[in-house]
Formats: sequence, structure tokens, C-alpha cells
Amino acid sequence: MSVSSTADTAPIIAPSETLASVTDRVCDVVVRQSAPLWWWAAVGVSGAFLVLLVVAATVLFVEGVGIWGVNIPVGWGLALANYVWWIGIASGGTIISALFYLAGSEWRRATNRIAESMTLWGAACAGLMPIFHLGRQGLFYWLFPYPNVMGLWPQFRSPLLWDFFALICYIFASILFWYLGLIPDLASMRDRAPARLWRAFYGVLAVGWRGSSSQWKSYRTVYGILACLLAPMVISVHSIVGLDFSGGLVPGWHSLQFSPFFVFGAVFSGFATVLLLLIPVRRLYRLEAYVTPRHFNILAKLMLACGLMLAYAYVNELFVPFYSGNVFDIHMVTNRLYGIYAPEYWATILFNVAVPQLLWIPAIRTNEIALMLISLGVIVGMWFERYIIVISSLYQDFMPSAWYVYSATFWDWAILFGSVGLFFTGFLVVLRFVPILSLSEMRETVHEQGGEHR
Amino acid sequence: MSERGLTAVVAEFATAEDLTRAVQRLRGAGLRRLEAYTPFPLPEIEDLLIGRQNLLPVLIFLCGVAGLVWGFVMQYWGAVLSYPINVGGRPLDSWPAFVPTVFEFGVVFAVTGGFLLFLAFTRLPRLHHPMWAVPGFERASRDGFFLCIEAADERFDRERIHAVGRDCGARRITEMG
Repeated sequence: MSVSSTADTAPIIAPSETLASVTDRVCDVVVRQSAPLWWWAAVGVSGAFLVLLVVAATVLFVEGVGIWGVNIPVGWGLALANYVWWIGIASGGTIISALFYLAGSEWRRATNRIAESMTLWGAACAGLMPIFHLGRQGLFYWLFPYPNVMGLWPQFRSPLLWDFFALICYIFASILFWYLGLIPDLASMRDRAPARLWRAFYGVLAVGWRGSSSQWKSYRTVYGILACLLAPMVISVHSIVGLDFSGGLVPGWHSLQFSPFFVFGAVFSGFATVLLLLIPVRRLYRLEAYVTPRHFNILAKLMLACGLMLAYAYVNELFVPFYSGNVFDIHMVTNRLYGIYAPEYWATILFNVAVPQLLWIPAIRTNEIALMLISLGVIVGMWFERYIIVISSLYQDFMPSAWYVYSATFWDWAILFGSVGLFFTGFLVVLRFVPILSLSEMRETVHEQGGEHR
Repeated sequence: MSERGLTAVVAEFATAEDLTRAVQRLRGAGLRRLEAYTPFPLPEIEDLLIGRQNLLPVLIFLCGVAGLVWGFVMQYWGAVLSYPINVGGRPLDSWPAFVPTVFEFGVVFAVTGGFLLFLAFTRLPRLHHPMWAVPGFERASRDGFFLCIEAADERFDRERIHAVGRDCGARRITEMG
């Protein structure tokens, strides 16, 4: 029990911290120190995967979707599973930064920049997937409702089009939210950078922020309202992703629970990804004073809670087909449990339901290695979940003569791992150029703890 | 009362409490043209200096309403007026199916409008400002609390401002020419 009590009572920020020390520590790793070796190594590895993505996309654009394993009836392959996976990770980041801002949670202040950066790059990866998935990628702009010479409009009644609007609005709103929160911190960077070039760089990005009380008043008002808007928006985005599936008549998709089910999964994978990024960043950037065991403990508890909600949805997913007595639904569900995709199904259950139960143990919640492994498991498990939902629902449709076993090809995997490369490359760039903790909010925490009087 | 060549007096404080006390005393003496510069938001000082009235929420709400209306008009135009097409006998104005897009438009208009209004209300971008000539002003984004009193204020009294600054523990008082 001693471990638990230290995690619960650990300070949210080390008591010796002052306004200056917070600012200097977080700014200096970026503006006063050259990029460390681990950063270059990480960029090298993730950059290689990014190149893989570029190659895979080029081959895809030239050859068409025939290079993938998709074939009727499995018209939605890995690209769609990847899409749902990435948008889920992105949504989790917004939940942390917007919802817990409204809740006034102190622990959010050390994690929101990481969460929002993760949202940006996760959403970027997600946004690519449906475009890749189109048969004729060059015509994706037909989704936009613009007056065109064909005199046509998109099908506004389709969940797929709702999803297009939801995603594009969400990405745009996330960028603005991220940037608005960054403006006061960019001003700190401007004032702290020793080189004239960097002062100019951050000066332009900070748009001349001075921190006057009238500016702070507008900032607080707009930031709060944006948080109020983004919190329901992110729920709507992932709910609409769920409706993409619910709107189809396929057993395994045509379910009312998909919207909340997807939101639980999104938040779950969001917490896991934040932990997976936060733990190494804290060590590598020496942020132990600002990210304490208390943060790990809270994030782990939230992840456990989301995992339980998700488990409830899994149980529901098994129960409803038998309760309804629909033979197609029962076939689909027994096929998931025992059919050809059973290993992926049970991997989902193992990583998302069984392993996270370890988080009931207080010592595990503050053990960085264990947390990273559990989080990585959750992220992999969530990918398997989307794989199962997309593929195992499709491969045996109503016409047994058309049944088809889908297996991903090299190019399918290249898109998946390439998008991981894009995510990490983008995140590393953020890590190198902007303060990775919200400086103005950390200074507020210091102020609340009497930090100016030290 | 402004003195020849003097445009403002800027006092720098080490803590938010010192700054707040100075603001309270100067406001009590009837000065109007005050501005505080702080490394993080201080709502109590905002209330003292600017008051509680705030137009922003109303304007952002109107942006959101404009988005909702535009989202609906766009879909209604496309699905009912410009290219009416019968899909399985459903009514052309199937408004419930338009709701998700209407919602997203409302949010994205409010967010974009909020961001632009933020820039308008803070008068940004503005890449140069007289305050940056104040020695040590770079600490306003780190650990310095600055108070600027403009000489154009009707009740500007140089001696008195210096006295208040000293009483409240100012780290440094600068006269800007």
C-alpha cells in the first residue's frame, strides 16, 4: 500500500521548482542545446519508415489498390482498419487536452502538449488512409461540396460523407487549438532563444504575444470556448466513424452500440499512446520534476477505466447476436470466436481486456517499464480490434460462394508501418521545435504552489 | 500632467501579489491607462484593469450559428434544390441525415471564428511594440510581472508612481522616453 499512497500524494510538480526553472528547463532543451544523439537516431529510424510510406503510396497511386489483399467481399482492408485506429489515437489526445481542461485537472498541464501533438499527427495519418483507399485517389476532391461542371453534389445522407466533413473539420480545429495554446509558449521561446535567427523564427510564430492582461483575458476566453467545442466535437467525430460501420447492413457492423463503443476504444488507445510517449520523453528530456508518479498513476487509472468500458462493449457485442437470435449475426460472432481470424480476436481480448487488469495493482501503475509494455499492448490490441471489426465481418457475407479469406500483402503492411513512421517523424519534429509542456500553465501550477517566493 | 519627453513608467515586480497590490493602489488613485504583463494569466488583475464585460463569447456563438445555418443551407441546396435525386423513395429534405454535418460546420465555424477573433481582440499579429524597449522585458514570458503606466493618463503623477512601486517591492522602475 505504501506505493499507492506515495503515488496518490506525490506532488504534481517538484516543490523546489520556480517560474524561471520551469521555463528554462523546458525551453533550453530546444533553444540552447543541440539535438541529442537519440533524437537523430529516432529520426533516422522513423524517417526510414516515412520513406517506406512514400514508396508504398507511390506504388499504390501508379498500380492501384490491386497491390493490396482486398477483393470482394472484403472491399475494406487494412487501410480502413488503420484509419479507425489512427483517428482513435488522435481522439484520445483531444479528450485529454479538452475534456480535462474543462474538468480543471492539474495533471493535464504536463501532458496536454504531448497529447495534442499526438492528436495532430494521428489525425494526419488517419486522414491519409481513406484517400489511399479510394480507387482513384486523384479524384478525392469530389468529396468537397463545390459547384462543379457536372452539376452534382456529394451524397449528404451518407455516413461516409459525414465522416469526411467530421474528419476535415476535426483536423482543422485541432490545428487551431494546438496553435492557440502554443502562442504564449512560443513567446517564451522567442525571449529565451540566444540566436537571432531563432528569435526571429519564434517571434514570427508567436505573432507578437506580449502577455498583457487584455491579451490573457482574450486568450483564456477563447481557449476555454475552444475546449468546450472540441470536447463534444471529438465525441462526434469518433461516433460518426462508428456510424460508417453501423450504416452498413453487414452482420458485425450493423449495430447500435458502435458509436459509444468506438469512443471508448478511442479514449483507451489515446491514454495508452500518451503514456507510451510521455514516459520516454520525461526521461530523455529530464522532466522528472514536472511529470511525477502521480501523473502515471492517474493516467493508468483512466486507462483501466476505459478498458473496462470497452470490455463491457465487447460483452455486449457477443450477447446481442444470441439475444436477437439472428442466424447471420450468430454465425458471424461464433466465426469470430473460433474461425480463421480467431487468433486476432483473442489477441484483442488479451491485450485490451486481460493484460490491462494488471493496472489494479498500485505498484504496476507507477512502474514505467510495465506501463509502457501494457500501453504498447493496448495500442496493438486496438489495432487488432479494428482489424477484426473490418475484416472478419466482411469475409463471409450472405453468399457462401463469394466467401474469401483476406490476407494483407507487403504493400498493406508498408502503408501501416509507413504511417507509424510518419507519426513518429512528426512527433519528433514537434519535440525538437516547441516546448513539450505547456509553459504558461506549468507556471500557473508553480504560482498556485507559492513558487515565486522561493 | 504628463511630463516632457516621458511616455510611460514601467515597474517590474517579482511576484503576482506585489503586482496585484500595485495595480489596486494605482487604480484606487484613479489611474486608467494601466497595463500589466504577466507570464501566466491572472484573472484578478484582468478584473481590475479591464472589467468583467466580455464580448468574445457572444461573437463566437454567432460564428457557430452562422456555421450551423451555412451547413444546413449547403446541404439543402445540394440535395433538394440543385440536384434533387430520389434515393429509395426517401424525402428530399431528409433533414435528420443532415444533422451530423450541420453540427461539424457549426463547430468548425465557431473554432475558426474564435481564433480570428482572438487575433482581432489581442491586436495580433504585431511584431513590434514599444514595450520591448523596456530593459528586461523578456522576463515577462518567464518570471517577471510588469506594470506599465502611460504618461498620457490624466492622473499621471511620476513621484507618486515611483512611491507606489517602491512600496509594493518593485524590482526595477524604468522611465520610457
